Amino acid sequence: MKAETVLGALADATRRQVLEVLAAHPGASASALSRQLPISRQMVLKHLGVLQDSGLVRSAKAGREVLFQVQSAPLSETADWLSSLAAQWDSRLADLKSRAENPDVRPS
Amino acid sequence: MQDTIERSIAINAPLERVWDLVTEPGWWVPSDTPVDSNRGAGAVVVRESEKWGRFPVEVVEVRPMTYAAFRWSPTFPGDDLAPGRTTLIEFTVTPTDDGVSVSVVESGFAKLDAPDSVKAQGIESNSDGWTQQLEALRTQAED
Repeated sequence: MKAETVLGALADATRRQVLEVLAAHPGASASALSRQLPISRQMVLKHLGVLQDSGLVRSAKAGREVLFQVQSAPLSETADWLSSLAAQWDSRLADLKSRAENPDVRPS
Repeated sequence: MQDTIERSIAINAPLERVWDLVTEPGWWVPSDTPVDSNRGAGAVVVRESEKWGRFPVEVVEVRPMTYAAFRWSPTFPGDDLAPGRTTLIEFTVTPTDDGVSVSVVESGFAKLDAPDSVKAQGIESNSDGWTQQLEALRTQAED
């Protein structure tokens, strides 16, 4: 199975729409989702596949149908990860500022 | 969710000094040994420390006194630079009343290959309470 990153999965606008509609309709089938979207059931399934590869969606069989649900943990994990990267940059920039403003101080 | 990080800082120091610091390739990642770096576009400088690992940094573009862009692999330490494994870091230096403003934009996270930890986890498609939930839903719907 191809591993997809959350950000990679969310890079497509239509895919983001699929995720939003699914979030509003937990346990929906691909057919039900395509009725809410301007794309075919096949395209919905394709996008759901990518979302599943990233861990954002999971599926389960219920009788003859396959139903889908959003998993929010990867979203919040990714948001946390980006926040920590931003904080890292703040720290590096603060260090840069310190070195620029105090050139005679030896770096630690 | 954007695949870009943007931060900035105000620095009270001469533009030339800030420019000199910002254009050292990989200045933001520790190096145990001083690196005499080529700073021209295309140069690849390796920053290495025992604590943080080995990070090659490529100089992408430099516009004197204004803009410097680099490429590196933040999520694949030790690897050589390869497509699908790098982000772009762009620094812009702007004069202000009190000195300069330095902004950084790091982008390209959406195009990164999933790190090995993600691949190792795999995605579980069967589950626990989820199946029971669905059964309950189906039962309800069929009433």
